[in-house]
Amino acid sequence: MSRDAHLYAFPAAALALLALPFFIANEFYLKVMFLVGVYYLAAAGFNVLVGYAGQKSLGHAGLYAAGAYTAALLTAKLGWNPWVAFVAAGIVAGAFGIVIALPSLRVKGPSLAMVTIGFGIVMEKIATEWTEVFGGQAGIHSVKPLSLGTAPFAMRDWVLFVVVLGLIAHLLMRSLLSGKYGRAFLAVHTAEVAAESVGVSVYRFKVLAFIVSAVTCGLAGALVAQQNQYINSDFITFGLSIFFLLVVLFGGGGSIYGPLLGAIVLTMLDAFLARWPHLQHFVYGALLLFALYAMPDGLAGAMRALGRRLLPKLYERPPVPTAVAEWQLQRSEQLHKEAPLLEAKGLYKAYGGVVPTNDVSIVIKTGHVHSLIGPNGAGKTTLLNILSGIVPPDRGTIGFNGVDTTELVSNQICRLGIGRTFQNLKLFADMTVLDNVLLGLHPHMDVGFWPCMLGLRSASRQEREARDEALRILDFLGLLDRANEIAGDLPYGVQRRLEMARALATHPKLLLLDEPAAGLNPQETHELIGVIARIRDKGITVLLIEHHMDLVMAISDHVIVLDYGAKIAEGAPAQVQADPRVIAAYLGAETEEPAAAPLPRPAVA
Amino acid sequence: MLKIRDLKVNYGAIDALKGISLEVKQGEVVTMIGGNGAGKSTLMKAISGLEPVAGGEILFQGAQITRMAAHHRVPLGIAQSPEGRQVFPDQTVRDNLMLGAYHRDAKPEELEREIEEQFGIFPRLKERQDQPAGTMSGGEQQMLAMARALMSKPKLLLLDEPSLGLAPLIVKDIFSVIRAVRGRGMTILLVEQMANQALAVADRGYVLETGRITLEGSGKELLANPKIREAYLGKSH
Amino acid sequence: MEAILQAVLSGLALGGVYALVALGFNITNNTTKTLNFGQGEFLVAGAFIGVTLVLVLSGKGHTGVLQPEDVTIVKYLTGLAAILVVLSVLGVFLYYTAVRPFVGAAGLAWVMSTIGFGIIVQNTALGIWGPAPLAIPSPLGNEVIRIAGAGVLPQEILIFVVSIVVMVALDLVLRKTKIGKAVRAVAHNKNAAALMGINVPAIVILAFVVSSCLAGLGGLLIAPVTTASVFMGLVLALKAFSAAIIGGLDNPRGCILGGFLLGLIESLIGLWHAELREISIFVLIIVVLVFKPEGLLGRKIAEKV
Repeated sequence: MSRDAHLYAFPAAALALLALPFFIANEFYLKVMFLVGVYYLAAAGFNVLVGYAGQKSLGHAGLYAAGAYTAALLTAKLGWNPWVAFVAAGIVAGAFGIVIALPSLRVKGPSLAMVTIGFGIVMEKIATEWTEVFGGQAGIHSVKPLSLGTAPFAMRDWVLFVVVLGLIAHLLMRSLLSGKYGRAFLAVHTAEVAAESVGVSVYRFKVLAFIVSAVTCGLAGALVAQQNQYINSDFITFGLSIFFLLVVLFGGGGSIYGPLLGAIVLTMLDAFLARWPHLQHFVYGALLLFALYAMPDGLAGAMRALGRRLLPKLYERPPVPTAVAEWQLQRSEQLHKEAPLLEAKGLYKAYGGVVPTNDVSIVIKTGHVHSLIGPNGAGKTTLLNILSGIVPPDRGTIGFNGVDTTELVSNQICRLGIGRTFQNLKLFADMTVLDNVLLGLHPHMDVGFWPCMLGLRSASRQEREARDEALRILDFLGLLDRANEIAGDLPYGVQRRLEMARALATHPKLLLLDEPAAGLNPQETHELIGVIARIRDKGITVLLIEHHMDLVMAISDHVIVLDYGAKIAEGAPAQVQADPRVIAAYLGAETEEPAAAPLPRPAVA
Repeated sequence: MLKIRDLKVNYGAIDALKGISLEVKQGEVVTMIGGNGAGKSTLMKAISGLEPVAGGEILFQGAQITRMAAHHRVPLGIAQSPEGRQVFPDQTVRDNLMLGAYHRDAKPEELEREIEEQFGIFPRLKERQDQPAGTMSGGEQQMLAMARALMSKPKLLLLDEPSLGLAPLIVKDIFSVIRAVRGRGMTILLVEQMANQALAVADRGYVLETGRITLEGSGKELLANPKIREAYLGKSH
Repeated sequence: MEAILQAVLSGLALGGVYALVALGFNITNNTTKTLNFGQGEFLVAGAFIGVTLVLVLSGKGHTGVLQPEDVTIVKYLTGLAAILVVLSVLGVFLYYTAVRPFVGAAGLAWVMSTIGFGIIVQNTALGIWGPAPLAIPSPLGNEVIRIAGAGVLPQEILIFVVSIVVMVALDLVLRKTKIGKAVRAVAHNKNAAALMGINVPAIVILAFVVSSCLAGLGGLLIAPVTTASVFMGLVLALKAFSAAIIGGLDNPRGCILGGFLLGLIESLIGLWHAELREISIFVLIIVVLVFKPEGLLGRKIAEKV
């Protein structure tokens, strides 16, 4: 929803929600409304993990349990103040979030699902079996409810409390996810390697997402425990984990409103089908499948599509200016032209029997355009991957601008000043052109987690400045008028330019381009020569891999030739072009006429 | 035997093949040469049915095979030794060869005879017949890939970059084998980066540059043509 | 001492079932890089269909109670035949609805779709049979056999023997028969397999059929020695999946090894502290995944960028 629309809609909705409990007298309906709020709270945080960061956890019932049992034990067994216990529940759940995050992040795919399921089951088993502490099926009674003054909350008070929490959660999430952090989470989801290449530490963001989701699920558990004044192990089942997942998926991951829609629809379904538990679960299974097929963006996505058509003004993005100032690349340090910027010595990498990088040493001089060429399978991309930190070398060292980067990972190398593009485009296809470039600026936006979440001035100011710079970078590459288009919809040649814009946004000292001309038509290839020249004129050193020899010859100051993983030649373009070793590498050795000893023809052909 | 008319293949937003036409007549060795990213492997995959076609047609012995499923093209007589060899590394050399004859329902004695025949052309494979294919060198795997394709008794043999990643001496061996196979009357479409060797063994050749055919002619004509070098290494400066 | 031997023997039997289900995971994982997260429900379906058939053949309704004399070997085997038929169909259905639409799609949608499919199967079963466990006496009787002082049920021996036989048979088929080699070819490289003239889609469906049947067989085998309720599927499948991961999901022998290993560990820990049995399994799996994610016999795969 656009900023202005939200400014009006939010207070109106808030007032309506706060007034609603006063119009409902029926305890059952109030309880349903309470549960909607509880599940919304859980889902709002879970959405950050599942919808934004894309980590599908199937064990969050365990975090709900952590919060619920913390609140229960602290109030019932230790007599703590229920408000303090409530807050403590969130903190303890957050800690458990770290516990589940650490193993989860070492594995991928179905193993991740397995680790989270395992975690959920372990928590469930602990609650069920360790009866001295957790009471198992008998549970913990006398959990103290929250109260203002002397009277404990009545149902209506609980509903109001949950509405307030929900409104706060909405504002916090909206603020957090609409800026730097939201983009970073989505980047982690869409293309991890690309995210790392723009300085986003995938690991840290995944852990953060786990923590945020753990806190909200834990608070949700505490609310239920304190409202019921009772908790037992029946509350913590695999089914609950699935329910959380369903709320986010069905409501629409990756959207601020998804969890709300999901919570409303599913809680009501849950409540009204409660009489027939098997039908209830059957419906969940069916809804899960339905959501996966028919509504991959969930209810929120479907509504957004509808809303765009009916009320386009509601979804307008801020307009793009038609002209912007020229992009200036500010550097905090001066680089000496002609000095070696990157020195790689003796790089070696083997995969089983294949050696794509065999004792390669290169020197990249500041301010020059270098090209890396060689026949297919020569090891060029592997070398680039080693230099940009995606693949560690088995042997050898890399020194960049005075720093040893041999053991560093991608996002660290990006922050030191190496940017890159990829041979097989790795754009954030579902995000706008502008957002892609804004992600490139990520390493230079130093505003922290709390200012972003609380929507402080510093955060919005930095966001504005970043936006201005991003627009200037887009203009530099002739993409300004496409700023609000979705990256995945662009023509191929434009997508390649966008990836370059994103890499430029990281303010690289050295830009690595992997086959920038691949798939471009001759016209676009010709324009590329001009683009690379302008990048060099901005003071950026360039190393590119290419097969388009005309491009290489036209733009390079220095050419390096690889074959079978080893450097076989280097020098000025014309020199390399005439080198017989290079010619042989590409065309094959000159053949003499074959010896004329034909094999006998078989009796039966 | 093989006629391709105005073939177009896309990879997502990229036009890998922009409308190419070529022909391979019975008994010929035709070669398609080009640099990296020219679209050579895309062509081979399209002919074997591993890549869907966006436009144009492929005719094999007069029949339309443009949209036929990959596993139906093999019984028609098209076999390929794919790019990078792609042998089944956990199965023995013998098993790989037997899989080559999968579509044929041949009797065990017949299969045995043919395996022995392949060992005749590729003696190194006989030494390693019970070894897992993944433990062999690149050159030996290339021999295996070709023998495996021959096991299906094809009418048309497609060879996708047999020299890829192999040392020059081994490449020499591979090309003598190709000559031997050709000497037995096989029709071959050979796709290669190593232009010199490929053109030396071919009757006719085509040059592929970024999805379009830019030159064609007999093997000898193209070998002598300086434009070939330009296609790979750019115009002289 | 006897207690330990007893635990080992029961563990091997339990491990046999885990190994069968784990092998099912291995087959679909190798051919499609997906597996059925609802496999537990297929196991349950196997158990219940088997029981029901025996009930029907004994003239009792589908929710009747079986007496030991009702369960003859013939009826048990007929039950097996029914299971194989029904689960094959279920496997094909699973493939088309929950796997094929999502193969290769980003975001692991197939994990959730197979879970969703499993939930539907489970609740259909609940609707037919209700939540109460179904008891089925073993076709081999309930007399405890003594081996070196340790007591073991005939059914446990049956489980162990059958699982070994099935695994050896599958191993032989994969290594020596034409179709087995074709399956291995597809598992390794679909395109190259298609170049041999192998009908890759048909082989993939076969993989799912075999995998589902293995789960169903496991259910039938374990039903007589456990409380077979509609809810037993999830935990069993998760343990079998853990077994596959510990042994190496991409290696059939690893999955089998993992299955027996897990059964033994569970049984032995159960001897020491019964309530820690399941927790220890899941903690173990988390530990293994952290330190050796490819499993004991699995292969480390280097990702190409």
